[in-house]
Amino acid sequence: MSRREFHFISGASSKFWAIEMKGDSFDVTYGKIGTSGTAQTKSFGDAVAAQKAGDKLVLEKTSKGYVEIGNARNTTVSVASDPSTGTSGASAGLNELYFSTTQNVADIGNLKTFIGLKLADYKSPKSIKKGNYAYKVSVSYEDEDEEDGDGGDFIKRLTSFLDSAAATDAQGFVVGNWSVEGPETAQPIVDLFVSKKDRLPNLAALFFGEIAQEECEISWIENCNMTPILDAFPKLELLRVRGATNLEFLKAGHKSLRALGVESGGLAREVVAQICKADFPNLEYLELWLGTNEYGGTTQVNDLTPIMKGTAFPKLKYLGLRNSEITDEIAGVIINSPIVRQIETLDLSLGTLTDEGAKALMKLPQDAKLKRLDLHRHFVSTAMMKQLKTLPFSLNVSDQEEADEDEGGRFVAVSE
Amino acid sequence: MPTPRTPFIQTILIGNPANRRVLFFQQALQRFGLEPAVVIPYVDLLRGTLTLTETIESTIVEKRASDRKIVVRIESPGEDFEVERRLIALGAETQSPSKTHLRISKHGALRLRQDQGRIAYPAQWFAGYRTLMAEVSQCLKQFPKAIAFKDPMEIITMFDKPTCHQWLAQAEVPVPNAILDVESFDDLRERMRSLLWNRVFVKLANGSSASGVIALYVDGKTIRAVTPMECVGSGARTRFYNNLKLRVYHRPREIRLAIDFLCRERAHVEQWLPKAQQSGRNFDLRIVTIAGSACQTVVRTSHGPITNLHLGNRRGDLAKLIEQMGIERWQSVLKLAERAAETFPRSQCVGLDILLGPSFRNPTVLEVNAFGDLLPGITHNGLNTYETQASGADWTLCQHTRRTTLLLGNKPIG
Repeated sequence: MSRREFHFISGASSKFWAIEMKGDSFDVTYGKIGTSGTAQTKSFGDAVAAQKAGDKLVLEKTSKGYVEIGNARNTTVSVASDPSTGTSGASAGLNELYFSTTQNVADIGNLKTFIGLKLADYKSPKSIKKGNYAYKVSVSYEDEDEEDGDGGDFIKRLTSFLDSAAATDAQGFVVGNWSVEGPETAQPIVDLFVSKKDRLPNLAALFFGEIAQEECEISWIENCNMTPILDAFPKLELLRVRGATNLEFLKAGHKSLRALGVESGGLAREVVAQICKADFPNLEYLELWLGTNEYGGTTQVNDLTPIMKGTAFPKLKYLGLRNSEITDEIAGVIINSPIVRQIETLDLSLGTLTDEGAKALMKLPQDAKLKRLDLHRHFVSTAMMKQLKTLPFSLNVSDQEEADEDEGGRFVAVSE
Repeated sequence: MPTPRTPFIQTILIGNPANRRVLFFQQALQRFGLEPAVVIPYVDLLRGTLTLTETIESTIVEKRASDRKIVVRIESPGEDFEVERRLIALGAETQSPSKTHLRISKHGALRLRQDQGRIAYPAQWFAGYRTLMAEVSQCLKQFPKAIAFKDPMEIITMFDKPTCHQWLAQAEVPVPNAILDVESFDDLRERMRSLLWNRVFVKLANGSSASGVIALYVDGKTIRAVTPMECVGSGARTRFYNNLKLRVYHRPREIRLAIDFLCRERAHVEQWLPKAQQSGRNFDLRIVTIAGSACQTVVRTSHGPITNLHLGNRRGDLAKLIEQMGIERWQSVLKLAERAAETFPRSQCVGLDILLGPSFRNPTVLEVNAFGDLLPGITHNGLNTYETQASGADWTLCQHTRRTTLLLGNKPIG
């Protein structure tokens, strides 16, 4: 008897799928995390056939990006449980399944949950709901028309949230779109967080810039130095930032930070260098969207050397070098790097991986800790995808794109 | 098939006979049972072997067209190197709006060799084209019966981005904010700083399509230029080319060189506005207006900041876009196109480039293209751009009104 449970968590959805083998039959349960889901039983002629069919289903799920929660930390804490109570172990911290929120382009600006909590828009104290929610503050065109509102003033609205009771409890918080009329720098927001840091004593997870493309294109989001945020919130475990224009991590350091994600249409090598130099001794999860040169992505493979060497972040278990136009080069170098022997997940998704890079990935070490390979949204041929599937990793090669030679070839998923 | 009608219109077309635009227009005339246009090749006009006056006169005699209206259609002078160098040569003799531009003597110009993609003497070329159009305009004044399908002097205005921008702005058509008369890269940086802008488009004042266009991003630490321009050689031998593949420059020295070049040839600088997206690609619209009505439309999509279709970009899905933005908002975009076209009342067909901001808001007119109707395969009511123009064959021409009225009486065919 073995029950295996798999979760799929992205900004827009959080689903589970579980299978329990029972000799010549198995039970499958699936649904939204937090519900008991739908159960089905399937019977077969013998145990071998049942096992074979079960294995096939598991492979299908993992190839779609489902992660077996037996592989994740804190399996005793149900993902659906309230993370703020931390019932099954106060020291456990955030479940690492929450580190990844933006799986696909469709997730951008579409976040429904954050660290396993339902996301609610905060507009005024009236927005505070009973129960446990993560709140998001953002402004839009519509706000300007609303009577007796704050006129769509982001700073006013964020101040109102920080002064509310919801802030004191908040474990996760999401900064949404802050500029309506053209890009505005994030600096005043960072300053406000710093000046009111005591209002967020439990902040463990911050998504800075969950902004839809329709609100502001990723390369137009004007960020700033994030180091003051890290300094202000010592309990922070997860920081995710969207938009790398003017983004900095100047002399950054944080003892508890476990996950850092930087989503961009173009990541400057200077920012990568600052991250590499940062003191994040407990970093387990690092996700960088390198983007394209046209939008400021100047990072080259050799800029990633400190990461590749494994020296920068000794506890790293997940490395995502996503949305990159140098995916093939990264693949060619990473296969022989120390980091690939250290991590459990390698994520090269949303980029421009071709057969060339895929061939290199066939040489990934199979005797190390590596378990998952996420390559979705790629330019790999169907024949090469078949080869990749022979690797003993849980593999996601969905979203095959075709290069359009007229158009100058291959593009990353997110740029402007 | 349309019913052949008594042709009471005779078209004279100034163009480059090998250019497909000429062929497409002739085909459209034929489709509507109209007399083929009498073609005056630009090259003959420039050599002086044919004049418009003589052609009009002989057309009236030969075609027994004394009772017909003569419509003079001016096509693009592009894609013919002999024409290009003769226009540059003509420009050597006239004053150009730019005082700093690179010059070449008439004889030097006539000896120029074809150099694919080179941005060759654009200001001088424009001066030459302006002279030629002024001559055409003068000539048309002698023939009250002859009418220009596009007014030559309006064509010149459309070809001059700063003037065109000014006309549109005066007509209260939404256009991007502009920085005028930029002298150099340093001047541009200074003025961007004082305006707190960090994104602009620098365009050759008299360039067409994406020729000499730079998408520039600057902040305190970073400078980045995306452009089809490419610099070859150094010192006095420095030349600039348009490449079909966009390049990204990060070195201030290279970017300065390119922008200084554009400024010397006269540059038009506009604020770079964010574009709406469709299926993950930026897009803007090319809307062709004919006789004042918005007709053929193309969604031009791109992964990068420059959407011109000849740079390998792709057409988007118009039906989907209309559905996404809602018919009301779409109608307002078409209205804007028509309002912008009104700025050029004596030109029966213009191609407008219109940008929509994120969430399809704030439609803004980026360009008015005098020869923006080359959109093969794009139809409106079943007609391509040339056919819609020819279908105005029930043309009621009222020369005295500001807008020459064309009655588009034909039903869709095909």
